[in-house]
Amino acid sequence: MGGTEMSESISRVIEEEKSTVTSSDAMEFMSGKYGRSMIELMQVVKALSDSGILSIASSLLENYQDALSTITEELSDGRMENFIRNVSAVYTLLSRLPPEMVSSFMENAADEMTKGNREHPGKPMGLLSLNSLIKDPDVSSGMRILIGTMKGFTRKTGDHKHDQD
Amino acid sequence: MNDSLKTLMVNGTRLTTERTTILEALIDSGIDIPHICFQPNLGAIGSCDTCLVKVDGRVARSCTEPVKGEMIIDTRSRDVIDLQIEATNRILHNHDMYCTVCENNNGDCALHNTVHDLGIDQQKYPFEPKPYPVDDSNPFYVYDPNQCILCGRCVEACQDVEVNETLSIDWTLDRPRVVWDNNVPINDSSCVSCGHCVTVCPVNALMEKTMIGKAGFFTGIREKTKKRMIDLVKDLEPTVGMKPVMAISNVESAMRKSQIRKTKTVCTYCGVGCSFEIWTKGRDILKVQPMPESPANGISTCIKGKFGWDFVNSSDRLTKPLIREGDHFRTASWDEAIKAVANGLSNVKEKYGGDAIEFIASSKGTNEESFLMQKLSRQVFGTNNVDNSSRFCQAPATTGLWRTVGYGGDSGSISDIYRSDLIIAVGTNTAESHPVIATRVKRAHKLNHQKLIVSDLRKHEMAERADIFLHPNPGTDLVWLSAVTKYIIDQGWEDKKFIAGRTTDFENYRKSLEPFTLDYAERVTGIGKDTLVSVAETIHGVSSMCILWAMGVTQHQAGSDTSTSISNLLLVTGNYGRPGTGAYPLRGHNNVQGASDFGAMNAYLPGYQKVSDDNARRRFEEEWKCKIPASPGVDNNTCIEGIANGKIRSMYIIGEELVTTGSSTNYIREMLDKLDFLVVQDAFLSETAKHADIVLPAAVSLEKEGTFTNTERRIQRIYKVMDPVGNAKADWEIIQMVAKQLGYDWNYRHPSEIMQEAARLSPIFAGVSYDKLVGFSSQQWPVDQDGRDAPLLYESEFHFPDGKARFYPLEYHPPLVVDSEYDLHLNNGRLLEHFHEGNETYRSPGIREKVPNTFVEISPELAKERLIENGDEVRLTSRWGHLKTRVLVTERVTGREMYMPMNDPGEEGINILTSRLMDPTAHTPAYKELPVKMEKIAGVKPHIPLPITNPRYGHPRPQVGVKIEEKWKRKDYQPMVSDGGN
Repeated sequence: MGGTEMSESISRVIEEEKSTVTSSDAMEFMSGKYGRSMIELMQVVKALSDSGILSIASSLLENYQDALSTITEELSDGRMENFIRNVSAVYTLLSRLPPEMVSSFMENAADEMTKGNREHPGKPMGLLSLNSLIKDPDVSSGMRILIGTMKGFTRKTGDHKHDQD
Repeated sequence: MNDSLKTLMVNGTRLTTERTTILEALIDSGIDIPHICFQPNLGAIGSCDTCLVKVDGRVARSCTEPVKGEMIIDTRSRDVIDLQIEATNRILHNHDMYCTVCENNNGDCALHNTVHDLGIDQQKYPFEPKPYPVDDSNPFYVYDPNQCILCGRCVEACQDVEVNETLSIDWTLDRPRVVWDNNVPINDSSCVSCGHCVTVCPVNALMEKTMIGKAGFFTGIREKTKKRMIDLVKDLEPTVGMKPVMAISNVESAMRKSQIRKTKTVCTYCGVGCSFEIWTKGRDILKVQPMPESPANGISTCIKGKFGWDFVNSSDRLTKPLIREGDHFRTASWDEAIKAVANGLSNVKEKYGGDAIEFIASSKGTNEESFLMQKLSRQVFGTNNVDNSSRFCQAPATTGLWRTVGYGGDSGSISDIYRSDLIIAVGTNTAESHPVIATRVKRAHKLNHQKLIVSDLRKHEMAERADIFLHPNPGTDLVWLSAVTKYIIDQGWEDKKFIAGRTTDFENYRKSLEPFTLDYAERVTGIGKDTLVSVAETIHGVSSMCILWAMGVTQHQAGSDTSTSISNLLLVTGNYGRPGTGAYPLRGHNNVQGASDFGAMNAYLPGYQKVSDDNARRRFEEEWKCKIPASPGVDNNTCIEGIANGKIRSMYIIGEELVTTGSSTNYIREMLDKLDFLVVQDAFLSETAKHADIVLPAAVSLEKEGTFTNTERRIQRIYKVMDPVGNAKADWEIIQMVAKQLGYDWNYRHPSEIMQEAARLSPIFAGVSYDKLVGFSSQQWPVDQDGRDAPLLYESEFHFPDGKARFYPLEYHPPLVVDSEYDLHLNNGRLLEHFHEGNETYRSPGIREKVPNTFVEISPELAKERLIENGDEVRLTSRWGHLKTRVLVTERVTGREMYMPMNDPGEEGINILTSRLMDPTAHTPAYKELPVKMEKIAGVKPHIPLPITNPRYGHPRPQVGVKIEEKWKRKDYQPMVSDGGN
């Protein structure tokens, strides 16, 4: 320090002895009584807190009115509604088809796409070639499904009753 | 019928408005249309095109389209909406949308909300990254070019609101971007880190570093994971559209409300009184967000207010009471500490009387705390020995105003400074000491043709900008002010009607000016006669004038007289009581005005009622059931001499770093050690606290409630942002504990109850109440019983019994000057980055990085004469002490005048050198009268004290606005409005 040597100033601080029960004392007591489970619970809570999941959960709980209102608002938008309905329709379609059929369809489709690409890359297809392809039983079976699907796009909702007859 | 009212037909409905633009009229009427680049404090920029409407069938930007009346406006037809969508799509080309993991997803992102409201589901022009890296060089904020939508808000704020003129958009680049100076990294530019740009950024292109990773639930995830998530969502967007993604981000945004608290508070640095919301997550401070409705500052802040809050959570904070025990302090319980304080003070009172104790209230504490401190002094100890830090700064200004116009406060508001035709700034480094007020002057000077005259020893920023810069010899302002006043009168330019109708004592005053001829003034001040005449002519040529002044005037032995001469000049020219006029002593601390207003003064009860006024005193005595002395007590400067002569035996100091901010540090230390009993209440173990017998840990402003009063007499509330750290307590609670321990039944449950008592006892606060101060509301005293306040004083009468102002004759008394031994003048004061000695600001690593240490500025000519180089170490010696510091060679100072900032992280602060000389009336130390000698310390390697990243090395690029016309000229800009770009 510059100037005249002065100062009775002090900056050392000594913590006084703790005479009351501290939080660590309380923890010791609790863990003694409930053993490992207490410690594990605390570890889980810590992990939830560190990962932010606790914050998310508590925020959702504290703010559920706002969050709910935002969700509802978003879901009630016209296009969002369409999105959800379409997802739901795709779900309906996929859930009614036997998995082996979809699986077989996808595998065959993949094989045929690869084959077609390999054997006739970019080659145009004439009417004669198309005719010969339709005669293939696998193709005609697939065509039936596709045409049925196309029909489904324009058929009125109540009409499917006739199909079941 | 109001002429300014105009009628519009909006979407078929009639709308009446006073607004000047269509957009403002629509916003006012609650008609919601997109607007991204428009922000009310910035005005129209015209860069984003999202606010397009049809006006009488033609497409126009509603933000720039003037209201002319009888216009037909269409905001919602399909083709208008399509244009708004097109404009927004163009913006999205420049912005990588990832709202759910974006720090800015807090419900107020202008772009997010626009996309949502317009129902945009697919990006027409996919985002295309810009070829520039993120700039995170600045310690406080980040610029991400890929998020930047080029709206220009930040540029407008920097160029024309803050007027630091650092930011611009380089429209010539293939992909335009915001650039700093000549396109250098932010930290190498002239950026002063005021935060304006970050505050107004509508997206996340400019972001506070304290927000990053903390604002949202998913913003803290690893960068790599975040990028993958963003890419995944981007891949899905063409299929599922943006809607579901926006929905998720809206939910996340709503959830953030529970973890981010936004609390209104007021800055605790200078006296401008900037208010803002402070965003916190637990004790973490995420950001400071000034609001358009902030009454003193709008969207403005400085580096300290925006980024200087690290001290709140500093590990150095005091958390427990301390009691001196031999060579150390030991921690103690509140019960023990309060008993010790009460016993110690009582013992002194019993032995020597109450007048042997000095009470110092904090100028950073609240009004309510100052009120309680003076009540403790007067009611419990029966003494008027109570004061605050205004004694060290603006008490002479108050004296000057009391002598002439009656109230010891600014005579108008910051808005008057902005609207004035002429600003004269005397001895104020406004751009550094009161940065937000400086922004108003700089803006008015740049855009509104306001004239600026600056008188200072240094060529600081305001001096650089001035139309006339006066450099008087140190301590001679009174002479040039009086000479200019005399010249105005000699020319017959005085305001005769004002003088005759609203003042007294003019003749005596006029005679007293006789010695102040131009020749005399030139001889004493060193300012040429022609320049003085130019000043007088400039004053004569305007219809309104404000004079601002600060420590360059007041911290002289003639501080009160020079302040008085300023007020005399304003009276001669009739510049009081009208909008755009008046006297503005710029207050130094956030509540130095309020601490005095609420009675922490040795000669005044709350509300500036003299202790010698029997009626006033009786009112307090009856309320408090006590006896108050009729004679003034000892102030907080002369109390040091009081210790020397044995009259003061004890002190109770709240929040004042007396040792390093009082004059003559070594002497003060010596005197404090002579005290029988010293109590210090502070947030830190300050240099003053180290001398204490008891140290009480105080809460900081964010940890309590109350009110502050700023330089324009504006009372504003602060709200509790977080609980006090450890066992710290609010000052008002601690003072109450002491009083109760001494047997006084104080039972204030909340500061509002203290304010009620102050309002009841003080006519100038009669109508002040917490109900009227909710949120950003404020009141400027005097406030009458009905709550009517006074933004502008003296409109009809001055604050004297006859309602007339008083001219006050003066003589000139020369200051202490250099001599053959102490041959250099050492000026001193603040730097922008630090507040005072820096006990708060040095705890911000970013600020410390910008200005790590103190230094002495010397002129190139002096450096050459003494063979001293930049960065050399020198010893400065005055008659009262000596210190070592580094040299900064700069043209800001000239000749044999030097400057040393008062911030210092160690023990080499300027006040080791200062004297005990003072103003004889106000008792303010003459800090600025400081002759020293300087010697170079040989053999020490030079180290330049101001880092190269300090903004003073930058190269600003002034321009008006964003230069949007350059965007419109670009080949890739397709006009959307009917008349092309404009």
